[in-house]
Amino acid sequence: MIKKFFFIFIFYLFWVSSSNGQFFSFSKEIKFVKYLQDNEQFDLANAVLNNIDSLYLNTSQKDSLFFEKGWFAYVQKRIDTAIYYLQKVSISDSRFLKSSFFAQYCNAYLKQYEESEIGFKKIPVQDSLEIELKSFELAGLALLQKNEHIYKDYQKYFRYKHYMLVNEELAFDKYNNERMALKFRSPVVAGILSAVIPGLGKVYAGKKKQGLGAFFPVLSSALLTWEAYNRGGLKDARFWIFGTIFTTFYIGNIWGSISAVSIKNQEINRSYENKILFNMHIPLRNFFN
Amino acid sequence: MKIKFYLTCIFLSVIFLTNLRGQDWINTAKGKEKEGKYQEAAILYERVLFLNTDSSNFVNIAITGEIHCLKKEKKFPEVINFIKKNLQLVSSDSVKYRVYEQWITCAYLSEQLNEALSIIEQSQLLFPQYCNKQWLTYFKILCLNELNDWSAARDIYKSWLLGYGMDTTLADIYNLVPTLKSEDKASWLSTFIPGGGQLYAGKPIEALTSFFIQGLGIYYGIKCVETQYYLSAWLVGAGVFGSFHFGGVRRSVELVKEYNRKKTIAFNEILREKITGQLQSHL
Repeated sequence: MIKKFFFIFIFYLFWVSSSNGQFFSFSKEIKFVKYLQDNEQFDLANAVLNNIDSLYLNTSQKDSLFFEKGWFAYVQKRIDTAIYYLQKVSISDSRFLKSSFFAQYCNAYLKQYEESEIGFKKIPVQDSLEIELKSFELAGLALLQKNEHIYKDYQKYFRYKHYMLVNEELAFDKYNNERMALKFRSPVVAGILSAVIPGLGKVYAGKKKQGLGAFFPVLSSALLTWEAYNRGGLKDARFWIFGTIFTTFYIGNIWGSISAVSIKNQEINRSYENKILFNMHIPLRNFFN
Repeated sequence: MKIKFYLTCIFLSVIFLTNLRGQDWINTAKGKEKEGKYQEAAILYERVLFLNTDSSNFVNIAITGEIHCLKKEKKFPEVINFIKKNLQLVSSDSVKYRVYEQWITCAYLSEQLNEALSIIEQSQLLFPQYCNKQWLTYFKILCLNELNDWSAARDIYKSWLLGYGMDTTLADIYNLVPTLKSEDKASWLSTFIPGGGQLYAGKPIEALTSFFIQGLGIYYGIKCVETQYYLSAWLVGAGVFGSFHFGGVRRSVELVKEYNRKKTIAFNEILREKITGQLQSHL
């Protein structure tokens, strides 16, 4: 019996080793990828992952492969690829929750709010902490979409107790309150202000240096036009040249002020979006670490 | 007793097969290298290292092989990173020295010249029995040239020529060190003579244009004062003159920097060609 077993085992060893490249089991291949990643050989790690043929893998191995591909893409900030693979991890896999949460976070990062919301809602959660985490992420999404009503619905699930969430929940409440109190500047007001005093619209938009920068060229060209008119009247070519320059600067300054307000508003929005995304990310990293 | 015998056989078979696998990978990697598939070859070499085989020979081959692949793909900073992470795996001093040579080459090619010089010094200290002094000195001279430390490079080059009984007058090439222009001088010239800095930097057309525009600004200003257009005199005449004057000062400094850079590159190119030629003829 032992003799039989021995010969079968020896035969198996030789058979396995003769098929070059197939000797590595799937789990070893994944370990090899991690080894390459640890050694900062990211191109090679990516090539090895892409060379693994999922056709011959069982469900569990496929899930592992999808997760590793998705996670690697996420770490390398290839967000689209990360979403694609993380969403492919099946519910039976132990990393399903992690991959689902991160896939939906990636959707939110790419401003695909609708997909993200549907995805988050679909995630099956069980214990109270998971429910709170899911609500927290959905509340973040509502903040990103500037929807206070929906935010309040999810805010009800905030318990402000768990160390992984308490700071971020408080931060969300703060952002929500700040945003509600925030009065965005009006491009129309900026335009009118710049029409009255050149550059004032930019100062109103919060760009003082640009305001001064706009004021002096308009003032200089206005003075030149006035002087040309004063000395030579309407027939003086200088009046028309400087007048054209002044008009261009004057209109440009009004247009610039309107744009400056829009840009400033966008900057404020972007700053809040970045803060919200950052706060959405922290509990995910802590929870699934 | 029988079981012990079988277990020993299985153990030895596994050891044998592990080595066989390493050998297979190395052979395949070499084949891939020949086909120019450097990434695939690098993966196979990494597999050998990942396997952590007991055979130091395999490890040495894998390390030198991967360095070669990365170098072929011109990933010089990656080679340096790879060497730093895997150097401790190299057991033989002669192979280690060869790895150091690659480190020096890649540091030089990725313009990490001070690192290259430091590794040259280390190689001489760590591997006195293996180091190729000629080659190391050659790279030291190249690095010093690129760092524009031509006097140090000349001294080393002279002693290198002396050491090999060659004609030391070959080092006279360093007498042709380009005279670099002064940025301060260009700045001062442009301050007091419109276009002077540009002319000094070897750009006569730019100098003439700058001179003409600044002159036009002054002329317009004077004309405006004469016709009592005082605001125009200040805002247009003085404005044009002032902006082109101060702009010209800054521009002349940039032009001198560019001039010096081109001269340095050209001279270092000549030095590299001459010194490489002499080294090759001597070898």
